[in-house]
Amino acid sequence: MRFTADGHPNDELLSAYLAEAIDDPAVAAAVSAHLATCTACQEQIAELQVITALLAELPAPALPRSFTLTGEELERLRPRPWYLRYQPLFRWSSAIAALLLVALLSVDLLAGGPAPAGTPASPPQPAADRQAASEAVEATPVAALSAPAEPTPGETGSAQEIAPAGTPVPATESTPEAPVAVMAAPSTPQPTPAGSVPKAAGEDESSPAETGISLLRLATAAAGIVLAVALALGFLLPRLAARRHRLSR
Amino acid sequence: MNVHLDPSDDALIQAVRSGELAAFNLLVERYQRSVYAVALRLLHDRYLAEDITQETFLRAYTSLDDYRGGSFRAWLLRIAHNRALDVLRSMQRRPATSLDLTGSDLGVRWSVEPAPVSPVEHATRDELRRRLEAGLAMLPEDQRITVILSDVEGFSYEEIAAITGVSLGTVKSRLSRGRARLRALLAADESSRELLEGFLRQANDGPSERSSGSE
Repeated sequence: MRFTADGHPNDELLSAYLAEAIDDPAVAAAVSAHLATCTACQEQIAELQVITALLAELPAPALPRSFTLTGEELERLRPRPWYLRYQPLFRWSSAIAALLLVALLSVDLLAGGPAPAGTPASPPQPAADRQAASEAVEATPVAALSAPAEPTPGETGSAQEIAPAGTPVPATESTPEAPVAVMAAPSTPQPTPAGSVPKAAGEDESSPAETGISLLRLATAAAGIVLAVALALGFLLPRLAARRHRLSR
Repeated sequence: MNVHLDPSDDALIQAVRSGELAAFNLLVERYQRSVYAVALRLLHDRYLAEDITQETFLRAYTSLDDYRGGSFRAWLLRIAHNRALDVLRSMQRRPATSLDLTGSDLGVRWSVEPAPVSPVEHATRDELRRRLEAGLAMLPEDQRITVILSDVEGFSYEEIAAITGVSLGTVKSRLSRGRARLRALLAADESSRELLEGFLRQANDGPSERSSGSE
C-alpha cells in the first residue's frame, strides 16, 4: 500500500481507505487529505464503491437441484457424538488390550517364580553342570549355544569331548555334586543344587532379567490402563449419555 | 429463507440434535444457495460445485457435533471452502484438467432477476456485472474467495477470517487488494472503463429522471 510517484494513493491504498483497513492513522489522514483535493482519486474511490455495490448485486447461480437430504439419508447418517462415532475403535482396542493384558499377566506369572532368571538362564545351566562334571576345563561363552543339543548322560568320556569346544567361565570346582546337577538340569529350570555354578550363571543374567521384568510390568500396566479407558469410552459413556438424554427429555 | 416463523440456526441445530432430523433440511434450504454459489465461483464447474455442495451438507450433518456455536453459515462455508481448495489443488496437480479461467465462459445459468431501472441503465449494469464476474475469476485464489465472501455473499470480516483461517488483518488486506485489482482490470479494458464511467455518470445524475429522457 503506497502512494504512487506522482503523489496519488494507489488502488490498493484507496481500497483499504474505503474498507477502513489502513492500520497507520497517519497514512489514513494523508489519503483523506489527498482525496479532498484530487478529483481523479475521488473518481477512483467512486469506482471502487460502484464495484463493491455491483458485486453485491451479482445474481446467485441457479441451483441445479435442491440439496436437502432425504429421510432415508437423515436416518442412515444420523449425526452422532464423537464417542459413538469412534465406537468400533474403542471396542477393538478394548478387546486387543484385554488379550494383551492376559498374555502379559501369564508371562509375568510364569517368569515371576522362585528363580529370578528363569527362562533366559535355563540353557546355560545344563552346560555349566555338564562341564562341571567333566573336570573343570577353561571355558568360552559359546557353550550356551551348543550345549543343550547334547543329552550328556554323565559319562566323562563324551562330556570331555564336548567341553573344550566351548564352556562358560565360572565352572571350576564342585566336582562331587556334578552328577546330581546333570540329572536335574535338563528337565527343570529351578536352581540346581550344584553349588556355586548356577549362582554364578544367575548373577551374570540378573540385571537384564530385572529390567525385563520391570518392562513387563510397565507393559502390563499400560495394557490395563488402555483397557480401562477403552471400556469406559466404548461401553460406559454411551450408556450414561443415553440415560442422561432420556432423563432430560 | 421462506421458513415459517424463521427459527434461528441454533434452534434448528438444537432440534436436529434432539432427534428432529428433518430440521436439518431447513438449514440446507437456508444456505444451499450461498454454498453452491461460492463453490461455483471458486471452481467454475457446476458439476464440481454440485458435488462440493452436497458433500458440505452431508459432512455438516454427520459432524454436527463438532459445531460449537458461532456463525453456523461460516462453519458451513469453512467446510465448503476446504473441500473446494482440496479439489483445486488436485486439479492443479493434474494440469490436463486445469481450469479455463476466462470467466466469460463459465457455462453457468445465472438466474434472471427483475430490473428495477430503465432498459439502458439495466443493460449497462448487466454488462458491468458480467465483466465483474469475469474479473473475479481472474483474481488470485485468496483474494477471490475473500471478495466473494465479503462483497457478493455479505459475510462479515470475522466470519471470513473463520472460514479462510486467517487473521482479520489478512482478510482486510486481501479484500482491499482484490477490489483494487478488480477496478484495475476494468480500467485496463477500454470498453469496460467506458461502461464504468458511464454508469458512474448515470448514478451521479440521478437514475430515475434521466433515464426517461435518454434516447
